[in-house]
Amino acid sequence: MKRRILFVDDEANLLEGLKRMLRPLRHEWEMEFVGNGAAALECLDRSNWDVVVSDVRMPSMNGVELLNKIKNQHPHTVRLLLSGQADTEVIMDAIGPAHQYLSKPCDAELLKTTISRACALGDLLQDEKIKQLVSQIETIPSLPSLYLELEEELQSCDSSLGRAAAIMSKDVGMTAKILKLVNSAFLGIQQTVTDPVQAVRYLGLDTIKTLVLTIKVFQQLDQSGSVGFDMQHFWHHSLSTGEQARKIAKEERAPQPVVEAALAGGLLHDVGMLLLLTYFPQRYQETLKLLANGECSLMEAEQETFGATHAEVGAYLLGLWGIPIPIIEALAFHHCPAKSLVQTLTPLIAVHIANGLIEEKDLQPLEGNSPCLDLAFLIELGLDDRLQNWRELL
Amino acid sequence: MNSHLDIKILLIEDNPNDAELAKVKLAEVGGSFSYELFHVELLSEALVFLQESSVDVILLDLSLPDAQGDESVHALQKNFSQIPIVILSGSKESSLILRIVQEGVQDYIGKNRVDGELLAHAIRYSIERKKSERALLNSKAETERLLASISYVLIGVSEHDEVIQWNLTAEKFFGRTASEMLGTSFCQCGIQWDWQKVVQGILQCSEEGTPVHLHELWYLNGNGKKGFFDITLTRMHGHVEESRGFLILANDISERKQLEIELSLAKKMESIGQLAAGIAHEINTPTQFVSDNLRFLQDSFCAIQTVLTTYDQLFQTVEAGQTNSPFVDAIKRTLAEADLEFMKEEIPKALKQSLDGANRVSNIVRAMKDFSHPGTEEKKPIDLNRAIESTAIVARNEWKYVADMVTDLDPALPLVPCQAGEFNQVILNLLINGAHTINDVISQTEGDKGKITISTRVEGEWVEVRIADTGTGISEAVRDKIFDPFFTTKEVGKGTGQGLAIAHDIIVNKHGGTLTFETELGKGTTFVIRLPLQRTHVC
Repeated sequence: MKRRILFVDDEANLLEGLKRMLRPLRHEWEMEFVGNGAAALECLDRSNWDVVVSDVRMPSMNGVELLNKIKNQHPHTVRLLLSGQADTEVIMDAIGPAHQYLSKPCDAELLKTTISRACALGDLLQDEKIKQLVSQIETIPSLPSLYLELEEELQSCDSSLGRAAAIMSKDVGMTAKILKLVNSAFLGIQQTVTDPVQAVRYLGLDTIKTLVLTIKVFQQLDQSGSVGFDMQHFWHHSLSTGEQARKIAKEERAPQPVVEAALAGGLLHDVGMLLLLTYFPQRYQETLKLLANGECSLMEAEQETFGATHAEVGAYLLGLWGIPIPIIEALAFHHCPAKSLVQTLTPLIAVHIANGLIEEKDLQPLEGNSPCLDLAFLIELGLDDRLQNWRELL
Repeated sequence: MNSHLDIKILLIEDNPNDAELAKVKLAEVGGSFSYELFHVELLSEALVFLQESSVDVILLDLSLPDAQGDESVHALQKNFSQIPIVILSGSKESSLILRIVQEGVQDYIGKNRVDGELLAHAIRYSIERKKSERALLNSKAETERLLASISYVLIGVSEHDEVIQWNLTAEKFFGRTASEMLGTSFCQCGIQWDWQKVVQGILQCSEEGTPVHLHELWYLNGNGKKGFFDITLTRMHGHVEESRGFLILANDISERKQLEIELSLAKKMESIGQLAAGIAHEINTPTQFVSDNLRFLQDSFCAIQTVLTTYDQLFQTVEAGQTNSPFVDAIKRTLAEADLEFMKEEIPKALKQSLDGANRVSNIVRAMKDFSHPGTEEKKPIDLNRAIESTAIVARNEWKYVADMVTDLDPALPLVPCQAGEFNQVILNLLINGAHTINDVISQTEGDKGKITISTRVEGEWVEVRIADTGTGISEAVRDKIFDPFFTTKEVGKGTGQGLAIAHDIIVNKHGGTLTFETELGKGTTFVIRLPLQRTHVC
């Protein structure tokens, strides 16, 4: 089936240029080009669209208003902004409703791959309902103690970027959001950034302050829904998986970007669990009940109650947010690396091994009794003889 | 009043006969005064005597054994300046006598004419004269202290171009002392400042007789450093010729001027900064579609090239006499894939729109150059139409989402003497205000875009620029306040209330024009700028 992409811009020449440039994709994509927000909403009401790409500044209804409406009325549609606006105020407004932000002039290839990736992500989640609900999520909750610590740090008169970065890089939700921001066209950084501390440095103290204290992009975790879930253990597990994955990648002399992505991938690998727990607390209780009966793994229990696993949910949302692909891969396949077709030590492999070794050591696997490591796959990659080395890194 | 006043007199006289004569004559005098006479023969004795006792007056003979001529006068004045001196002398040297009187001796009586009444009068009057002389000296000293403590430069110039006042501040500024300057010719006194303006001011001041103010007049101080004065020139109306002339009071405004320059630079940077985001947007959009079109043209050319190659192969086989070429099928396939119909239709449009886009970018860049106009403060004849168009292009992103723009610019408009940067600032402020008020209207009514109309025309000796918006109009209550600094109707944080005040200052004070408005509630407002075609003298 063809993907359906809707483009919105008040500049007719721009729409025509896009139409011509994207013409070679006409067999894969069905495209429509409209001149204002009202016309876009009409299109969305009439039929189903996979992706909307909208300009920001338009007369009567601007792009941010349009995306907010689409988010509520057509949540399954992926929302992208393509703007020539350099005004940070507008961009800050767009952080919530837009899955990704691209800036004009945008390279044709980047535009094509961004749209294709957003479309492909949809395949991760089969359940339409879950897909819709997840794509509406704007924030991933943070650990209250870290949130308060960050707030205090930023409000103090001698707040430091280094300390703020140290706090944020310990939190799953904050790290995800920061990576989303820094990898959007928002800052005009050309390369992808996967190291949370570096990401915070790119944003700078003023932007971080605005984001945290004024716009409040982070949100404290409401723990009332997480009965029977050891939040402390979850956080500890996420942090040590990140740290361990980084160590493994470093030990294997992987290039720096792989080492950094391994750290972020490890920290974020179970983010889907946090999402399900926060946004679907009652259903997650059912999952936990199934798991407690001991008849199935966590993944199977999630599949049973949600029609999707935490790995898929996390990868889907962070994928929509434009988090770099190696990290998304680590999220999506950290339990089943063989599905990824990778051949070398990627962040995914590092995260898979780190996760497996930590669970093995803890002897009370967080994710049920599933075999922690895909030994067959590691043998295939010729990495099995390194396992003892990595165990010693713990 | 005390009816019997005792006057103590010191007589310095070496001739005992003369001394006796004076004593006798004074004793004869009656009335309400009594005279007590002390007598010494030498100046040195007199000086010793005066160290210990005080007297009201000194009677002095000019030829003493230890002092001749005016020596004794000088010695006494030097040590006892408060005591009046009456000369009692037989000398006939009138030039000497005149000089001594000029130097401050109170009176002179020839010895041959000594008469009791006359002597008594001379003594009493000289005491009185000394009193008023001292009062005068005190008052003069006070005036001088006052002048010295003024932080303004004060220069007095007589009708004959002579410097007659030069206060401490003037010394400080120009590095010349009063003693150097007093009495010299003002016009050739060598201080460096905008003489042309000063002379013009002086002429105007003496013609009209009223004080003349000169603003922001440059000067170089004693170290050659440039500064600015605000000057007031006042005519002095003296009864005697010497005191007629004019007074120059100069206030150093260098620091204020520096602040103003910094402020206006900051304002300029601010307005360019505010526009920068919008300008980037205006450039990014055409850049996007131009490069998309180029990408399309590149793809299209590849496809066309494939078609041409296949045609060429067909042609060669046909030319070689082959009637049933295998390339006929190839042509069919290639044509089906090549999407030629779409290209035929779209390539001309893509080319045209790309050229338009490139043109738009170069227009913006040109307009930015015009707008930012590296700050000459000088008024030069400029093309207002072009200035208006450039400003409208630079600010386009600020108005295009709320309004359409109509321009009706008189092509026959002559060049107008103007500070281009300042004029652009006025147009920008009025355009942005117009866009804001239209936004208020359309966001309330969810209506369509409004309209901003700019027109120019010549009206006699004036050029008129009208900027009309279809905004809310200005309510009666605030009509007389809109040009006040810091007055704003915008919500907190949206406006500084400076836009119109700055516009007014630029047009009225700096260009000698007028800035007025016509407004109707619910219909909109038209601002009318009128600038003089002739250079006018603006202070």
